[in-house]
Amino acid sequence: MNVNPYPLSSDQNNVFFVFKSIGKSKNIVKVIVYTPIGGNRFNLGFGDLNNGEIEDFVISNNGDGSKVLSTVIYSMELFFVSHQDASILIIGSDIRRTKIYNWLICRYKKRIESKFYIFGLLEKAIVPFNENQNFTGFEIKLKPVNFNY
Amino acid sequence: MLYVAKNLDKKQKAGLNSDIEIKEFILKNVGKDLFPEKTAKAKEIVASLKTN
Repeated sequence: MNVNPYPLSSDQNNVFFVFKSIGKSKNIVKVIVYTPIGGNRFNLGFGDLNNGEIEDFVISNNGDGSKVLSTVIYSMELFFVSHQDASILIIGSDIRRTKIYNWLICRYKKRIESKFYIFGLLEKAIVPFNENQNFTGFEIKLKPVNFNY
Repeated sequence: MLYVAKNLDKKQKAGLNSDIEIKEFILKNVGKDLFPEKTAKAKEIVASLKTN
């Protein structure tokens, strides 16, 4: 997936991001928030801003899914600049959304794994992500950077 | 204070910063939990992992 991300606005701690999805029929303001949930884990919140309210159940169908996903991945990269040792939890707002996340991770696994470790959440365990299991959520960690001189 | 992510050219930065809706939204909501249900669900999942 070599789609350029949308420009992102962020707070100084790189946990709060806003961008505009420019789609076929409308422009949507999208919000990404990394909320601390204990330990060094942050939960990924993602939704549309509509009349000052956040909607995280809506599926936008704005025709720019790849670009939006690329932007979310870009926000993760920026998040990890300020939080190298943290991990990001990704849980869908419902089963359908979790399945969509599962499908997206499978589809863009190569790109995600180039920079991050991906784990899948089962009922009572976290295991390395694989395409053959249905996970209830996902955890992302930054891979150590290799400097090749 | 607002920050615009790197890798943007001057025009893009100017366009983004001039967007009052986005600017105000960030300033008003930074630090707040905008997804409380998801946060609670995530905490529940993490707690269940710890106990098992």
